[in-house]
Amino acid sequence: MVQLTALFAVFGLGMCFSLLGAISVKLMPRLNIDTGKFGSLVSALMITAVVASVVVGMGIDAVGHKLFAVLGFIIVGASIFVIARVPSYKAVLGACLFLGIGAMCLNNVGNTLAPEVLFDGERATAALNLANVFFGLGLFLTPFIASFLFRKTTYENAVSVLAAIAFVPVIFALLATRYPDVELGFTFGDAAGLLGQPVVLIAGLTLFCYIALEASFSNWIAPYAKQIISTEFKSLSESVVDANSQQMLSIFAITMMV
Amino acid sequence: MLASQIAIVENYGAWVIALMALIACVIIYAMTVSGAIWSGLLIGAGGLSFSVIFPTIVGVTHSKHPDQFGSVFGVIFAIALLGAVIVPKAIGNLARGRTVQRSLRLLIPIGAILVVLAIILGYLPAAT
Repeated sequence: MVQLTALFAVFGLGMCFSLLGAISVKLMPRLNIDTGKFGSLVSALMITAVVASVVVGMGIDAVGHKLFAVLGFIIVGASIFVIARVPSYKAVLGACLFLGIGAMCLNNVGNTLAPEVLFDGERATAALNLANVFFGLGLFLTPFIASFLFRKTTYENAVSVLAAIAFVPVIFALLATRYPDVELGFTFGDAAGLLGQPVVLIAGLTLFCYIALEASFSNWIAPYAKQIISTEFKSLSESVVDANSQQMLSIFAITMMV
Repeated sequence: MLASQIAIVENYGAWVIALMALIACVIIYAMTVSGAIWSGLLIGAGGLSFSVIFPTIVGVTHSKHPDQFGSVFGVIFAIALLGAVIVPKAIGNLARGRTVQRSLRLLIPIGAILVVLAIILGYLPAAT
């Protein structure tokens, strides 16, 4: 059960990161916003995630994984539900702020739990690559389901389904019992000293560059594809162009899993 | 999925990251100059090159600093997320004056820096 919690945590993170890109073509006209304001929604999610990442990381060392796993699934589900139901830019902006917190609970739980509980804790990189498959699955299924449901039902119902999918794995987090032991003697001062260590600093900067690439792809592939498809294939209807653009995000996510 | 079964990714993580980042740079450049007909193929190739990078960076970091890894991961991911705060927003702002396609060029120098940093990370000794 604890392995499932780790894998569904990174799955939920994948959902969080592709959500805005997946619903962008419907969300922008619904809220009547341009690409710049849409970029602000993405930034809101990421800014809270920056702070939450540090706090949750230290929290996991202090109190363990379970609390943050449960909180992560609940917050992410609730935030997506608000994005689904409230047609107000301010409300969606607020939901994106909370989505950032929930995403970081899932991210830190998934990526620190996976090396400990997969492959008997012996192969960290292999465990994280396997976990990344579930991250890719979250990235892939979100635009895929969104694209499918947008053609079948309303925006509200389609995104509400995504909220339910994000929420359900809280059951695994609650039922799991074999979480790694909490490290004794941990203090928050120890964590503050980590930034002075070259390995931590260079790893952080390396990830900085990578996440910049991935977040840009996740959020701009659909608008990029929509722009070039509609320019080159002027005869296609808007709904077909929208569907094709969202499928590009799915292609990205599928290849991320392979 | 494949990378979790390949020993070279575990043993030469930093070099794998650098190689994949270099390939990603070439793909992004191609996306900025090619037409819609190639977009699916290039996006797919981009996903393949990206897929190994994140878990391998985290895996290399875990091997060099396994203690208090919750806090280590929290700190490095917080630094990392600044990239997600700044760069997609910058692309959005650039796209106001021109196309999203041309704005993606911003990602090429970032990919090049990633190549250099991955090599440095590989040479750093484990934390004591």
